[in-house]
Amino acid sequence: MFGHLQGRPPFVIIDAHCHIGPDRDRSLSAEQLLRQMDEFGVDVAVVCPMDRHIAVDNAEGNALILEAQRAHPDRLVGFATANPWYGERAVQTLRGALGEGLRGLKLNSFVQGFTLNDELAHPLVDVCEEYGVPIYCHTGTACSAMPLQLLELARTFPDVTFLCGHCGYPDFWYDSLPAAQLSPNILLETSHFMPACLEPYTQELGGSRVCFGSNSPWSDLMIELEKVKRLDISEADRVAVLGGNLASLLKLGET
Amino acid sequence: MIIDSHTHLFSEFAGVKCEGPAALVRAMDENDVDKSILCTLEGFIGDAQAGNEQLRRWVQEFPDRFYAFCTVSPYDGQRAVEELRRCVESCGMRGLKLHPWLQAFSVVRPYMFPIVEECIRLDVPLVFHDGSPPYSTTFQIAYLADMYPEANIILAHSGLMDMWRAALQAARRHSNIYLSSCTCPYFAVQRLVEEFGGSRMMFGSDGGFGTSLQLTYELMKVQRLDVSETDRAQLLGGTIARIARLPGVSTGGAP
Repeated sequence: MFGHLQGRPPFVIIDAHCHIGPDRDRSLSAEQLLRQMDEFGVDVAVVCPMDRHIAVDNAEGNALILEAQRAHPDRLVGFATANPWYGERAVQTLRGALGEGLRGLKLNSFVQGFTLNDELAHPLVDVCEEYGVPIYCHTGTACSAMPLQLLELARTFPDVTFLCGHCGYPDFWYDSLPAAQLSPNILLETSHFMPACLEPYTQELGGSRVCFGSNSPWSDLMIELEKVKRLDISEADRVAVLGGNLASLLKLGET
Repeated sequence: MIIDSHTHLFSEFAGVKCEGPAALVRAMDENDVDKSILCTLEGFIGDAQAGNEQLRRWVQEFPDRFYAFCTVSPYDGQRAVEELRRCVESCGMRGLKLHPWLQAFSVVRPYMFPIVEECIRLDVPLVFHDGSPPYSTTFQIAYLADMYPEANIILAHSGLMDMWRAALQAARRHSNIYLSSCTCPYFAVQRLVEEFGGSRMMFGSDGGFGTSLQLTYELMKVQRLDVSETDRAQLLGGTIARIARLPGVSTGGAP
């Protein structure tokens, strides 16, 4: 897998965050996503389940992600989900999904009904640490999913890498910069976020701490990619943001 | 004709620079935007009247390209009403922009009522930042539509990430609520146009934040919507020209 990305000029583009599956407001199949990736030049996408599967029926969602990853092993990297309220059952769900080959965990504490700093999620983070996989956390929603709550979690698990979804957009973008500054295991993900802020944040943190993501289908892959391509940042930073960081984090090309 | 219903000019805000009126006009030229409505930002956190005077000077620099929406501090009581009247009647401003979150007031308090009543008398729309707790949640703004069915109320962000469903419900319940695409996620804007058509919706960019990329990103979003060209034309200028009665823009006949 991913051997084809080695040395591919000029660099790989990896979308750090997409959702696939059926959902009440919008659905996206793996094939539809792949067509968009082909159209806009995205090599690899991280895919995770849709909201209903993040909230409940986690195993059903994970099975769908695993199926997509197995069908397109050189294009899709699957992240599992598990709602920590299921307790030991959630741990088993996550362990099963990672054991089958999924490569990370998606938490959305707003959808799953806990606050991101709640110890409730710690058993799931323990499993991710054991497997050496990153955790993508939705941030930006008041009370339950804020960057400084993520900071508390990230400091508790310094050996796990956390992606701070949407840089805290819409209401907590002020906080994502200090969160990332205070904990080196936090990376910022770019979807929805204002370009005017991405530029100073990338300059402040360095390109190694920011990852391109589209949050398809909630945002549009094309506009999210164009945004990052046109940012006023150094070319070295752009290569890192568009895919270099994710390639290292997901150990692409090493498997 | 493309009209951007939502831009800000300022010197610096939360670490983000603004390049000023000439740069905004260049960004408009690059993006084929004909006219923009300017709002203050420094007037929300400082002296509202000083913010309005700055707006007036910027419009005078580019009278064919800019309109202005003034602001007031609702805590100023009768002085706020008089400032609103001065801005509309003496300075030609075409609406009122309020940002309850930054201005730290609650729209459900009685000090708000004389301001809404004056907007009705002057026949200008009220634009509110919405989608953000604790003072600018979408239903808090919609309360004014309940109290004043004759006021034209624009939700400047259609609920942002987490309250777009409230924006949809509020606009269903109140025909005097209008919705802006500005910084609202792509899929939510698509859903809202499908529900209401273009005649209740308008394009806004938050342009002025950073470089021209903010405007480009928001405009690409509207151009990527899967909607009829009639709806898109209303979104891109027809609706705001109609409800703000913008001078120099024909609103006669179907778009």
